[in-house]
Amino acid sequence: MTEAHPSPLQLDELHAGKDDATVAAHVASCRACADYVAALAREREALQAEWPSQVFMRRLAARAAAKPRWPRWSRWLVAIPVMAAAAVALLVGLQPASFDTVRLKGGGSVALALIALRDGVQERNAPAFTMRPGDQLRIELTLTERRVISVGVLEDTGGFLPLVEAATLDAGLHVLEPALRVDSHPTASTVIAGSPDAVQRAITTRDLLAVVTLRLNAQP
Amino acid sequence: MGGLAHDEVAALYEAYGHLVRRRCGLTLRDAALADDALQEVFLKALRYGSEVKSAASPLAWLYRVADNCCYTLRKKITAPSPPPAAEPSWHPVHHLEARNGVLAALAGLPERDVRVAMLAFVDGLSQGEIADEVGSSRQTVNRKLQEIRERALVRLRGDDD
Repeated sequence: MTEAHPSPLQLDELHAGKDDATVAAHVASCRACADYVAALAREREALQAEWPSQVFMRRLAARAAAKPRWPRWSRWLVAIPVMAAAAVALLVGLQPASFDTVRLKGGGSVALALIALRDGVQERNAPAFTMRPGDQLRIELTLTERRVISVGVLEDTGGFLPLVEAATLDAGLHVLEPALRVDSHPTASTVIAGSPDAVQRAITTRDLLAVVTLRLNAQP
Repeated sequence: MGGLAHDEVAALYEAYGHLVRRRCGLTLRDAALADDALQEVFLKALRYGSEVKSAASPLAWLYRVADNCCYTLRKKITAPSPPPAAEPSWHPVHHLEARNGVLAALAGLPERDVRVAMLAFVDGLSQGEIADEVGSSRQTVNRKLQEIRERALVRLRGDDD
């Protein structure tokens, strides 16, 4: 990329109608950029000829009717009764290889780790864990400041299991309730945590940029 | 997060549909999948797109959704697609070889890194602009881009063999 030209995004926005005198002046004097914008105009005409707005919107309505709004959670993670959950205890001093962290609006950051109990042995894991049926899991959340947080498990197939819904948590380490057991057919998923808006966006658009993630792989 | 009205989505499609389709085509290099992604992006706008009204750039919002849809659809690609009959237009600000190398390497990247790669090598944003967009530090973006370049180089060398 060079300093001489506007970025492609700026050119795309100018072409789409954004009022930007600087970019417009550049395009008026630059053959390459003018050719690029002219090509975009031809692509617009081609799409409008192929799928006029009315036709596209009819297709979209049919697609919306055929596709459920919220894919169902497939229920392979089950809550463990309180007594059994006590066996999955907090591990202190054993650090995972690396934490994923994300900054929160208004300051502070959040990190996730997973405490897993398998065959009587506990391990603390981040940023990923490969599940097996029978594993017992607890999600550990670390906040550097008091914040409103949502946490849940987002399946690759789209289902979502909320664990914390827009709750205010103090700074420090939190081991979330309930503990969970992996059932017989785990689905590859991602534990996500962040501000409620960011978690909602991750669920609906799979945009994971503003949430902290912990990958749950399913053993083949 | 609410949705948009039918007329609002139609207006978005008329203004930006071809740009979204172009981006999906660049990413997926498969015309049928790109058209599938195009519909998926505007379906998401219909259901959850209310925030596009307050977005600084509706196009940037649509591109973000498109990148995520393409990431999901890319998993359906089981065999390399033949090159598309017509390459989408590109601008000299792109180093074409680097861009194609990065796009070819997207399949092996985590979802977050795909977004960083698209912002850098397709949108042409600076590292500072990408850091603002994804909420990371500039140093983190710099490190990610270095890793992505190295992956792309490995991919390009592999294709040459």
